[in-house]
Amino acid sequence: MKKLDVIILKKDVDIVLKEVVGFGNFQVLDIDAEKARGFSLVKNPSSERTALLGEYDRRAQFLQNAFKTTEAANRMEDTLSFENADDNNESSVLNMPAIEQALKGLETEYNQYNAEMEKTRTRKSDLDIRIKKIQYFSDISTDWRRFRDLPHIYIGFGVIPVTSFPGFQAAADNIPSVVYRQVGIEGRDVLLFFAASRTVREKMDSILKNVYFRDYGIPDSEEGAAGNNLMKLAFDLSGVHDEELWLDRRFEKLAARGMVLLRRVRKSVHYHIGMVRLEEEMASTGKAILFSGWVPASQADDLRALISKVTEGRSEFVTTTAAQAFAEEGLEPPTKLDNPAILRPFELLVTTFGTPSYSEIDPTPFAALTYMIMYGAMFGDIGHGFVIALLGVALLLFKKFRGMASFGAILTGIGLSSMVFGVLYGEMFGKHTPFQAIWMNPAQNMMEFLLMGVIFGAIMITFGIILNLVNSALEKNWGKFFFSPSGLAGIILYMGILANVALPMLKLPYSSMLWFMPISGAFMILFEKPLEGLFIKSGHKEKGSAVKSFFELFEALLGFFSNTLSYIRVAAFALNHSVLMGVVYLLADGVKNNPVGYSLAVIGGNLFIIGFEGLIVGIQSLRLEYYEFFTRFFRASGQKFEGLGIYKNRN
Amino acid sequence: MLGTEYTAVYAKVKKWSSGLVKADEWAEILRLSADEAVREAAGRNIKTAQAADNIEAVEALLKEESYLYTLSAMRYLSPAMHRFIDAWSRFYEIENIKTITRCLLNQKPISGLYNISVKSRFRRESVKDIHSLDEFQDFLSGTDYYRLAADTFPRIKEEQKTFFFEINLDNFFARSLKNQFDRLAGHDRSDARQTIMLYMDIQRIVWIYRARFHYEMSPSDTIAVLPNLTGLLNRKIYDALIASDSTETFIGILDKAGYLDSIRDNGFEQRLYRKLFTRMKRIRSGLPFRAGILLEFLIRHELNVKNWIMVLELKKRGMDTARIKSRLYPS
Repeated sequence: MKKLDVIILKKDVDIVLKEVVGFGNFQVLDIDAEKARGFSLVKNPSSERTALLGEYDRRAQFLQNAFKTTEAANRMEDTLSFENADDNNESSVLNMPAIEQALKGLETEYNQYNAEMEKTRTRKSDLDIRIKKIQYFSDISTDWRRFRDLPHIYIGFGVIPVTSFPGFQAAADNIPSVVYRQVGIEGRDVLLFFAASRTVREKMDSILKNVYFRDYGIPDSEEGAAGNNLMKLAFDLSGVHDEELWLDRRFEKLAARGMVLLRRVRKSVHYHIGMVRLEEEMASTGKAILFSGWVPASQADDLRALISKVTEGRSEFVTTTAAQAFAEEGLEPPTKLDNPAILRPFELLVTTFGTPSYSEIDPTPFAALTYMIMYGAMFGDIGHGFVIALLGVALLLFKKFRGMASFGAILTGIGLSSMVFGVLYGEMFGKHTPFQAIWMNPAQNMMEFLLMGVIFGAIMITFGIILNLVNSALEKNWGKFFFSPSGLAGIILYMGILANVALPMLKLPYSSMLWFMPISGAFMILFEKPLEGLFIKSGHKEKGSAVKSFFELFEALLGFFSNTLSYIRVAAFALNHSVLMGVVYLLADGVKNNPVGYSLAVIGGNLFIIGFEGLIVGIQSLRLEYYEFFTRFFRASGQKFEGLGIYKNRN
Repeated sequence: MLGTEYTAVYAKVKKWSSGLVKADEWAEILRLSADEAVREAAGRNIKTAQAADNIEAVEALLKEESYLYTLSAMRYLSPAMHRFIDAWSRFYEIENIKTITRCLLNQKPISGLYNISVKSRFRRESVKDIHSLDEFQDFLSGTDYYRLAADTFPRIKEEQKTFFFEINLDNFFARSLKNQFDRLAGHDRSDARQTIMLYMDIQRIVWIYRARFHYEMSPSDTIAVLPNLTGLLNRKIYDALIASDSTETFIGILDKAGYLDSIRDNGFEQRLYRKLFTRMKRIRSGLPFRAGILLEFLIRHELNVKNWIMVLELKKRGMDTARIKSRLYPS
């Protein structure tokens, strides 16, 4: 990473803004307004466009959510890709008025669709109600016109909104001379037939007004005409159905078209947000503008050349390395992970834990290797590994799962690793392979496997400490390098204990002088602070507390012991896999006489083990990775590099 | 399981509660000038603390904080309780609809809305170009509120009041909340009953009071418009309140039923909320691993926001401290 300070003329600011945001890989540095004033510079004020851009983004998101309810829009989203040629073309960026126009246009069409659909549904509901009315009254063979002007009672038929019906019920139930019947529910309305005494007419009318009763009246035609009316209404209803379908299709088209435009709108918004972000962190004199930021070291010259070109040489630069910027200005450079494509998916494992700081090594390659090894060792099976790898490949290939591509790549890796270990163990779908195990089968060599687990743990912990030594050296933190439990002192202590335990056990040449190793390691840890003060120029001068030091040593010893033993689970899960598959086949044998049942039991059992045990092994591997391995050396105190603009992958 | 679903809740609520104004602090705040009170209100927000120097901006911040706390709370809840609070969060959307309708009726620019999720249509930027009730009704197309609007807007235009529309909205809200409440069980259910559903009961009681004695609606009309939707307000008390023929009778029924605080120096609404506050204190001082801790906080925060808005508005209008203090909700 390099820090780039840029000075340009005010008249060139617009073109430079566009170029820098278009370049993408530039993280702007905040300018302190007070400090700038100290240098007679004026920091640009906050822009009102930020709020407006936020508003545009929210409007676009709302429309996207609304359109995603359609299949057409979801299909369109699947086909849109970030690598689409149009996206990387700067002419595809919309200016602010165009963004407003695009959003306004879509919103108008969306609101129009809703209004038309609402009207259509209201008409449909009305027709449905009229049809139900005819059906209801024609059940009773009588001339309903006779009931219109009865002296003591009046009857009515209509609809009340579903939301208001409980209110009507509560009020009507309190009036003894009212009887009513809920005829049915049509959409958002309850169909109601009621009869009431004329003495409560006024009260009833008031209640009906308050519950938004719509009167459909008692039939006014003869019985014979009801049939004709029904046919006409049914015909009208089918017309309205067609209209509804047509509106839905129109909306699908709008949604599909809208998704494309909204994608462009949102990218444009993010582009403008980048511009505003950069503009706000510029300081100016009368004629010149200054801004600073981080750029990946390999691209610093490209950016300088780009700015020089567009300003026709009217620009000055000061380039500082990350180390210089840290030493002279105390600026912590951001971290941009830069791994080969094959390792890039495993960055997810690292960034879930934290971002490496600039001055430490990127643990991605080690995480990738160790995670795959641990997973493969715990889940060694050619068949199961093949299924997992196949699943990973499916996630990589199908566009629908594009968002899970990293996960797919990890699955492919661990699947292949499981297959390799399956060959070593001689296991395929829980059964022994036709060929001999190249190494050894866990179930048949239990104790050796458990011992392998401990040895693997010792290797991992030692490796972790070595990585910590490297990180400490990069940081020039020599105190940590020499005297910390994860430094040279720790490795001497740990190796010393291992040597004194393992060598006699394995009946290898051994000398009691080897006890000097752990003792000296313990001594260095116990007196870490004073030794650091004594030998390291920039080390701690504090004396340190004896009790605290003792407990740190105790914690270090306990940590080494428990962390080492923790890796036994690698062997334990390898054994576990064999045993679980044994149980699957045992259960399947119970239905051996039924070929279908047997097949289902075997297939189902295998799938269950792949899913259930596969998940648990993944979690356990992650736990070993994070807790026993990363904590030895990974500071994770970095900040992620956040470039401006939408063309982050341009170069 | 074993009451451990909400172990993270207590510490979170303790931290959030530090932003609420306590009773004795209101006395200090009431002594400030109108401008000072505005700055104090802006600075006390935890989630949205930023400088603001006018009432509109501060009210927007306070309202936004309310909504943000509801969203934050949802992260700590069991699935059933999550759905319940998701239904509760519609409260803010409905408040926005009420505010929009009032602004349109009074022909004022639309302002004072909660800043809610992008999934809702009723956000500031979506409604800024609406200038009439007809346009708003069209805007409501495709939402659950269209039918409510279609039924009540003619009445709003005729009577020039939003009362019936707002009641309709509250009824709609109460129904959807009750649906989710019915799916709760055990402690979740009892906690929701003693906090949010009790708050809803109080809102309903206040509506009944206004319907009977401000709008002078008959008992049958009041029942029609304000049914006991949640079914949690005792049937006898509900019937007695509806049938009461004077404010004294009304308040007497509530007093006897234990809905009112014993201190009689304030209006009955303040007494209702004080009693609510006292009941909710039991939850706050009870087991710390209950959803009730969060729910109780949401209600307290809501009352806190109401108080702030009331204090700022009344100070701006020059009302004296004692009168403002008498109107404050409990804290």
